[in-house]
Amino acid sequence: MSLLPWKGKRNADTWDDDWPGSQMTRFRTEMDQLFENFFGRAFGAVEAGYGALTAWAPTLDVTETESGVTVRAEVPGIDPGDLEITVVGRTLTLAGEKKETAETKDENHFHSERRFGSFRRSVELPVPVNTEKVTAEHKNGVVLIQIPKDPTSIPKRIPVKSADK
Amino acid sequence: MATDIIDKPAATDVATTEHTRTGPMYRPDVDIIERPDELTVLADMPGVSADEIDINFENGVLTIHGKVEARQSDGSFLRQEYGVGDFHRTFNVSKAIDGTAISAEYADGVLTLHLPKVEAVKPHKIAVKAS
Repeated sequence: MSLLPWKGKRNADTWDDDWPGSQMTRFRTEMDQLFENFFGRAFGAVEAGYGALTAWAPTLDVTETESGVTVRAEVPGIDPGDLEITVVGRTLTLAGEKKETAETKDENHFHSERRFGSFRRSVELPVPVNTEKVTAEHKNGVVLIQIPKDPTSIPKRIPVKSADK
Repeated sequence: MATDIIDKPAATDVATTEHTRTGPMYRPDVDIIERPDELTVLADMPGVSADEIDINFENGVLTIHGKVEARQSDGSFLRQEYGVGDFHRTFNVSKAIDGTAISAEYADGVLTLHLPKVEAVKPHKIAVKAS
């Protein structure tokens, strides 16, 4: 949603540092987030609780196999140490913060699309799981969480013996 | 659509390039930061490995392409929010950038491109001698 006209184009021949475009970009991003938060809250209530209320939250894929549940989350630019993954009962919570690196924070933003901030998402798992054996692996900005099912919730086929002989 | 890094577009028909690989393509979100001696481009490209990123600079057009491996469909999806597809984006780059000296690095799903400015546009401090 863009509410303010973007007039940040500048002449390539001038490299003045007090160009007002960067402040405008920041202001515009903040305005966009404000409106998205407001309208997301008012009209997107179905998704409430799944990160719709925060400015930014990672996207998730959840797959179920016979033995476990696999969750993939896109977390580009997040230090693995800033990720907090917890499983309580049947609820998986992924929390963390996408930090603007110190070197990019106060500089002249020519163009700004990436979003930063802290997030918390909780997902209800479809079956009881073994919370002791959850593993999480971070690679190339994607975190892969593997949650084995509780052994008692894995269907076990009982062979039927024939009694008549 | 190509994003202008510096306002004057160097080429107008960038977006019409056809791709041989089928499937969805994603436009990575980027931040472009201006520093005294270079422009830094940060692009969120999760799920790409560093050796699967192609960066090309030709006739003032910078193209970044990140190949994302298709995931095995192990089991059934309970929730599917992000699709899998290559990342692709083109930028028009002005002559104030030294195209031969562009460098890039990739860490934690973020591609960082360094676009150094040509000597002529870098700020120079002129010392004043006391006479």
